[in-house]
Amino acid sequence: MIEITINKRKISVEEGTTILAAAESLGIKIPALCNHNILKPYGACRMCVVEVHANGEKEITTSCNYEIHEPIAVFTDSEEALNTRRGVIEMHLARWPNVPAIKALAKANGVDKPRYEHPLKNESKNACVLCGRCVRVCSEGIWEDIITFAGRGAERKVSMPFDKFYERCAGCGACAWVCPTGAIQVTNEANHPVRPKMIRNWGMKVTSQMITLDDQQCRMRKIGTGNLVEIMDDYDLLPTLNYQYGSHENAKKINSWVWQNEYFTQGLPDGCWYGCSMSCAHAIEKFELKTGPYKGRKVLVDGPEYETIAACGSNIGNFDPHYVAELNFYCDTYGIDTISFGTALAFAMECYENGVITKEHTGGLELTFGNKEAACEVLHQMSRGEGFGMILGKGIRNMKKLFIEEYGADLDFVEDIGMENKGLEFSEYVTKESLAQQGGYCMTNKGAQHDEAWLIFMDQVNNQIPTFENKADALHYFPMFRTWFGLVGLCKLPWNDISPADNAQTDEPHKIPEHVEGYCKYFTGMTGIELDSDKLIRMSEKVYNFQRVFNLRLGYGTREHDRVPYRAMGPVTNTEYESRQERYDKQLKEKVGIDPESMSTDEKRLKLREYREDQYRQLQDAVYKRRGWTSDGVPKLETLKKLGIDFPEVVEVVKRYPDV
Amino acid sequence: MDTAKINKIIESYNRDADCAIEMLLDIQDEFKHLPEDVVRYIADEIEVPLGQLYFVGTFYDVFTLEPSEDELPQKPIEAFMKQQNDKRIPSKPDAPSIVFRNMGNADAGEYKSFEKVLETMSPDDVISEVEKSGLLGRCGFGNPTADKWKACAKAVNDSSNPAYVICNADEGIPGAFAYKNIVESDPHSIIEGMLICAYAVGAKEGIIHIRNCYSQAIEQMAEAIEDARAKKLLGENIKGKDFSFDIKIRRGPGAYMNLDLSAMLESLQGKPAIPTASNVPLTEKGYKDMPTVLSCVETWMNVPVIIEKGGDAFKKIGNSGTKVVSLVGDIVNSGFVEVPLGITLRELIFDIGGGIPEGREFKAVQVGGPSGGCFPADMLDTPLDYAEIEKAGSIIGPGLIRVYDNSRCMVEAAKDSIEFLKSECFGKAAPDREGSVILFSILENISQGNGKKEDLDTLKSICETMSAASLSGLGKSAGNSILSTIKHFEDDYTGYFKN
Repeated sequence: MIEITINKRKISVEEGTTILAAAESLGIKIPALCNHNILKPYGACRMCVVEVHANGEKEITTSCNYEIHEPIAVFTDSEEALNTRRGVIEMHLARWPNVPAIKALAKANGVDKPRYEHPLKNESKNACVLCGRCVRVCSEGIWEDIITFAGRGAERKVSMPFDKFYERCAGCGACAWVCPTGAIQVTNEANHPVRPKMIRNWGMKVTSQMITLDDQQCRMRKIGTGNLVEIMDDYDLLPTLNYQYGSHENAKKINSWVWQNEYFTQGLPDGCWYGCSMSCAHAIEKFELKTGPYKGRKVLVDGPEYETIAACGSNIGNFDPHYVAELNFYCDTYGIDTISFGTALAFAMECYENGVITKEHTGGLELTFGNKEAACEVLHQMSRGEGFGMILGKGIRNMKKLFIEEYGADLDFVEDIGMENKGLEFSEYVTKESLAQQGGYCMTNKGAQHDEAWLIFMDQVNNQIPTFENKADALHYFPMFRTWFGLVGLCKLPWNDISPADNAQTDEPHKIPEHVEGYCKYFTGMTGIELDSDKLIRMSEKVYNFQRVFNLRLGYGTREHDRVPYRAMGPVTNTEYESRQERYDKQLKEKVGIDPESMSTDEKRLKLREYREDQYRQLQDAVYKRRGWTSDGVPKLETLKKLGIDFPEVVEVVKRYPDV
Repeated sequence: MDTAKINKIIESYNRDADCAIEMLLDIQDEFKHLPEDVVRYIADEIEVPLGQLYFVGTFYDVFTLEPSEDELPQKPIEAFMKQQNDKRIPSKPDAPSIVFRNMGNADAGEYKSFEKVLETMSPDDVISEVEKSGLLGRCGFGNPTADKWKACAKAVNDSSNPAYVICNADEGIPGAFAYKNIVESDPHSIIEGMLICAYAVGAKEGIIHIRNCYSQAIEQMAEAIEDARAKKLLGENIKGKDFSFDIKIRRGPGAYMNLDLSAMLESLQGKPAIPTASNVPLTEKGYKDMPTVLSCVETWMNVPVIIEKGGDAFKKIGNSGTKVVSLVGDIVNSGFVEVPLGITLRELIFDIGGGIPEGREFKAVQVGGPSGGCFPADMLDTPLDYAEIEKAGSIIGPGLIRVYDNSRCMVEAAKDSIEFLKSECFGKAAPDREGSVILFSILENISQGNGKKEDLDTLKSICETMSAASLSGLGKSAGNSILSTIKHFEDDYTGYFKN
């Protein structure tokens, strides 16, 4: 820390702080035009000049870009500083006499009519004042460099390359947002929104949060969702070896820093949505493949994201980042989901390791955990419709049936470790210690995915939803809220992968209220229909219940279909139990009320299972009640009526069930 | 579009995005303009924003966006400077010679000073000799060279970051050819000066930035570098010691703006030469944000001599060495000449320059080029010395000395200077940009007979604002010609005012 004085007031600042920032923290306002709090200091308008005394010398200098590295005395309003500032403002006023921002600065600083005529006087109210905010936000904020300066000296102007519209501009509007004069206006409203300004203002706010906060929060711009690898590992939530464990000593070999430092090539605009300030899609360029039809070729790998790193990495015991990327590339190329592939392979590997299947079934492939070459080979087989790849490609539900019926596998074991619900493979979180997330995965319409509700941190880490009612509330609100993104076709990531700086001080930080409001603004801005968070949930409820009825009509959608494979609830094997014995023993003692001291692992494991399965049943009761469903999980007639979807065909489906 | 041809150009720079300006220079040579499709292609290939290349293309005078067979349009000051040509004029017979000491000497390139440094001196010894010599940067604002070295050595020590040693020979004053002549006369001394500095500050990489159109100078420098490498004076483990340093040549577009060092570093990274605004010195955060010593070609020439003679002895040559100046304007002998610092302006103009052409009298001398101030006859005994010239209201700068005879109007002289500075202004910062436009317009107004007495106060006030608030040294010193002509030649102004 360095102690300085500003207008004789003392303040301690961190080395490298700018004078402008230090003055602001004292409530001393220094006029500035080109400066903007989300952009790097630029030093172009020169209005922020102050007088600085350092080492016995005095100088007039701009404060926005002056880094404090030694004790200095600053005078923001000395006569010389004021005179200089007025001189600079006068030049601006002479050239742009009618721009409100300039006029206001002139008035506030006692600059009247300029003493001279400016030969390039521009009388527009919305003239460009060459502050460069737009150029900088396009570069620093959006990483695009679409808007640029051109020319030299008095010829300098803001432009796009070759003075014409540049096709890469997605119209994100960040430039218009930072423009102090309105020189840049978004005019082409391709989708004809009813209230374009409402949409733009909100979009710009999100952009500013991305630019200023992401580096301290999720690093979506640098690494994307891969930032979760080490967090999940730390909290024992990273699936390893088919969800047996939640962490692994080798997880560091595939964590986010490895991707950021050794694999991802940065500096590319977002491959998912041009103009998106989050730009979370990251890619590896010139990646040389080691297997398959493109072996030896250098390709671009689109990813990996967190789910792929866990699915094609830790969950199958592969801690070689090259092979994670290799599987990522081939899954994409073959049109296969990396999550389903990884989770299905993890299941097959555990079956292989336990003798459920052998080389005879796999066509000679040694499907042990961590056998990365075999993992690639299965994938290539899958693409050709050959060998064991053909079996794996049908997914866990079909494999379970085949293994039990044809290969004589132990039904209980295979059902316990086959991580699917409603035929969909689990995505990559260990849910053993989060009852709410078990519900989040399995009391769903489309199967075991985290797209409907991701409650692990809320439930397990932050303990924000302790009771069954709390959990049921969350399992009502979040699936509805997240369903809404699908309804309107908006990306969910800017909702909670970036949070406002003051989110923690809100009533419901886990919902990120400010961002919910923002999404309502997008909707209202586009359609003209007023929306608040209650109405938003109601919109989704209609669809969500309709989907549930649709499931019922196809023979799914009751309580039994919301069943959780036990691996997602607790330890299936004694080895698993013993690996976290302290935790489980403690729970037996404190929650179940039995003394584990004299019990065998088998006994303890079964007692725990009894307890946890009962907990899940109680959760089902609470959630169904909250959602307005029968205890069998069927939407009640009154619910359908309330939602206005009691159409005859719908009513006909639910009427077959009791208690509706 | 002939992609093979363009690929060849890109490949010749190893696809290095830092060399974007050189690639565009080659494209300009090839196509006589920068075709849009070619620029787009290059931007994609070397992965730099298209906007950056477009900005470069609109920023430097050497580039045109439309095809043209014609020569580039001449600027007002160029017409005036043309008379100087590329001519060296003789100094006084007994004058010491440092910069041109090896001109025509076949023995040059022995690197005796560097060997002395390598064999017998510690880095601190070297810096202390340079400090004793009192050497000041020769082409800019006369900052002590040893200060740069000390600060850079400290930054390297503190951060263990790699440092760069850079030589600016990207001359940007139209009609001035001093840099060109220095490089052509003695490239080895430049290399040697940089080697000594690299040893003192702990740098491994050097860059010599030479104006693109000086093809002979580039060629000779390239040969000298090859020669030094062959003699193991550049490269890994020089002379078997734990010291490695190598130099590469980078070609520049030739820009007055490059007198601002942070701007020049931008152009070395393929961007328009625009000063980065920071109070952190380049010695700490310079080229690629690494510690950097950056000096002009003339400064480097002095370094081997300081080591050879010792700092104290060097200090006694003139007022700490010599300066290459270009004499232009109303003078009998125009051209460039090396003179000892401390020589009076009178000696320079009358003894060496041969005085004013027949039939006219001396009226004024502008020291330091368009950014300099104009002195009247009663200041002719001012010595050509950094401190003295600054005190008198000017700079030595790149060493351009422009003489005016009594037929000249000093309002016109000031207007010429401002017109040049206006057209060479970076354009980034408001006072630099708007100030020069406004000053020029007021001067023009006065010279058209539409001025009034209060205009002089306005001019002075604008110059003061620019001096305090400008981003670059070029903007800060822009008012020198006006302030000095109002001070010493006020009659020239009032002569235009009605009543």
